[in-house]
Formats: sequence, structure tokens, C-alpha cells
Amino acid sequence: MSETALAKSKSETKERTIKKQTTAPSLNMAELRELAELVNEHGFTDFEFENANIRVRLSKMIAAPIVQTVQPAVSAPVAATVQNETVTPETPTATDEDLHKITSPIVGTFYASPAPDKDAYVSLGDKVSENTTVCIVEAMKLMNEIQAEVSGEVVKIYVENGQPVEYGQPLFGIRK
Amino acid sequence: MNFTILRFDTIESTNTEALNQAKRGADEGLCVIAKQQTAGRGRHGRNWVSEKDSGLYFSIVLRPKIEPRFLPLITLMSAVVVHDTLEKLYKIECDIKWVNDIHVRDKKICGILAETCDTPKGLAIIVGIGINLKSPNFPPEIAETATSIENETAKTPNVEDLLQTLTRYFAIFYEVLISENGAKKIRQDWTERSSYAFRKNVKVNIENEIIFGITRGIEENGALRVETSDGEIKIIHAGDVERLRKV
Repeated sequence: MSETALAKSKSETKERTIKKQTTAPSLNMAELRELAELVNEHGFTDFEFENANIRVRLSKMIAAPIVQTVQPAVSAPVAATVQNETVTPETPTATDEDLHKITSPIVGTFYASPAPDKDAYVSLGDKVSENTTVCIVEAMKLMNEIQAEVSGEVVKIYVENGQPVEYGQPLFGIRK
Repeated sequence: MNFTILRFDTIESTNTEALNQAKRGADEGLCVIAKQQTAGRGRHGRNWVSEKDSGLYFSIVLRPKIEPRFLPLITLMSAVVVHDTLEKLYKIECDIKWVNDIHVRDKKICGILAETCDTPKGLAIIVGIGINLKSPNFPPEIAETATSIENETAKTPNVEDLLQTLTRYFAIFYEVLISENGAKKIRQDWTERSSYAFRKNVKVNIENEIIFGITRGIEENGALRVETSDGEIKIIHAGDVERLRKV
């Protein structure tokens, strides 16, 4: 048996196993891992599997999994809702690749506004220029004012006010 | 380090003035001091009470050539500077509450706030230090949690002596920080002076949550390690730490 045929045979075996297991309402972590290994083994960049109970999509091309952000029910007063909308975090996706990402220069805590009772530095749709301050990242009471460094429009906000951020983590997506 | 001192009777904020000076190209070591601030700033937009002649309101421009990950250690270093200044000059026994509040018998005597800014000469850091000289006019909500040099020594401090010692220690510890292995030495200096470094029962108010736990030292950048009751180590980069008293 040639190597290709062997690989095909292996894959068929695994596929059958997975199909059998997915008759359960969901996949467990071991099954997911096995599925990911199978996809990796065959060099697929995209894999989709669906049956009556579950739909799984794996992709190697994007930096983060495609996650539909579910908005929490807002019980705050209407005035606060407006502010929340400006900082609705989103996960970077493949469609954001053409955006300029403003990233955090240090590990710290992200603040969208200069003070809790103040408006956010920038909101979705705002036009920014190189020197526009877009947020503060605080680390050990060192306040780092982050500038946009490019001109464009704020089209994505990836983090929430008060959230811890890592070095190099995308904070904003700017369409130049 | 060479110091140039700009003195003001009244100013909005010494940090704001130092930021503007840095943006106009001020050298490292430029200091702004004022007898009164009309809009003194604390952490994250809080007001810093700055009545006339009640405090030393001091900001300094720095242009440190150190690894960016160690930049936050400047605020820990500044706490060590003030700690040693007050002990040397006034024999006041101080503690450093993470990250850089100077406390005497659990009351705050000094607050420190640092800011970065991009300037034509590169990145600058402004360190603002507010030391309480006298405290007769503290508002009631502050009076219970704050103290002053006058309160602790029963003498009115001489501002010039204080400024001289403060800048002398600043130069010494800043040289340490920017030297080889300086980050490690500053972490050691801070840890030796702070009762909050290890085994302290604390409550940490972070923007979106409250954490209870025991302190387990600091990270390489000065972040506080807090072990929660389920054994998890939380790394704190920003927040208000309170000591929990045993019941």
C-alpha cells in the first residue's frame, strides 16, 4: 500500500469514528483534539463538519477562532448603554487583515477613557490622526497614553474598559 | 543626573507642566515644583488635594534607556526614593503600599503617579510626587486616611531640605535602575521596604472585580502576585490594594 493510500485509509477510519461519536449532542475536548489533529495531519487550512446535532468549523488561516460575540443583556440605565456601545469588544478575524491594528506596548490594564466618569477617548466611527490619544494602558501606576500613529477611522475595538491586556495585543482596528 | 528646577507658586498640575516641557524637548532631570496645584491629578482621573504650602508637589522628566518591560519599575523606584528620604531626613518609619503609596501607620503621606509621552527626543516619562507637608486642611474624608510630615514629627518641614534630599536619592536610585541588573536591584530595594511584598492579607479593587488573597512577591515588571483562597496566583498590574485586618 502506498503512503497516500495508507493516509487515506487512516483518515477514513478516523472520520468514521468521529461521525459515530458526533451522534451525541456535542463534542468533548478529546474528540475535538482528535479532529484538529486529523485536519492538521492532512494539511487542510479549512475543515467543516456538520450533522443533525453539531456543526464544527476548524481553520488554520486566522489568528483567533471565529467567535460570535454575544452581547450581555444590558440592565444599566440608557445613558450608560450609549457608552457601552462605543467599547463593545470584538475578536480580530480574517476580515480585519486589511486594518491597521493599534497594539498594546506593555502588559497592563486598558482604559478607554481618562477617568471613569469621562467619555471614551475614541468611539467606533471616529476619525483619528497620528497623534490622537486612543486609550491608556496602566501598569504599576505608570499611565501609558496610546496614540493612533496612523490616520483613519476606528472600525474595531477589541478590548473592554478595565480589561487586562498583553504586550502586542490588538486594541483597535483602524481603516486607513 | 543634572537637575533643573522650575518653581511655580500656583499651577494647574506639575505633571501637566512637566509633560508640556518634555514635549518641547526638556532634558532629563527637569523638575517642576509648585506651592499649590489647582488641578492636581491622582490615578485614573482622581483629584489630588493640593492646598497652598500643604504639600511638596513635584514632577520630574525622565528619558530612561532601559528595556520597555522594565519601565513600570520607575514608579516602584520612586517609592523607594521617597521612603528613604522621609526616613533619613525625619526618622519617619514608612511602609510602601503596592505599588507606590507611602504610608505611615497605615495613613498615606505621599502619592506617586507617572505618565509616558512621545516627544521629539523620544519617549519621556514624567514622575509626579505629592508629599504631604501639613495636614490641617484635609477634607474629613481624607483626614482619616492621610497624614503629613508635620503630623508625624510635630515640626514644620523645610521644603528646601526636603527637595534637596529627594533629588539626591532620586539620582542615586535612578542610576541603579538604569545600570546593569538595575531592575533586579530595584525590585529587591522595593521588597525590603514594603510589608505588602509577601504574606499580606489583601483586598484588591480592580476596575471590574475585587480579589481577596495573600501577597506572594512581585513580578519582574513590579506587578503584584496575589494568591487567592483556591490557590490561584493573580497578577495585578493596576488596582487599589487594601490591607485586611485580622478579625
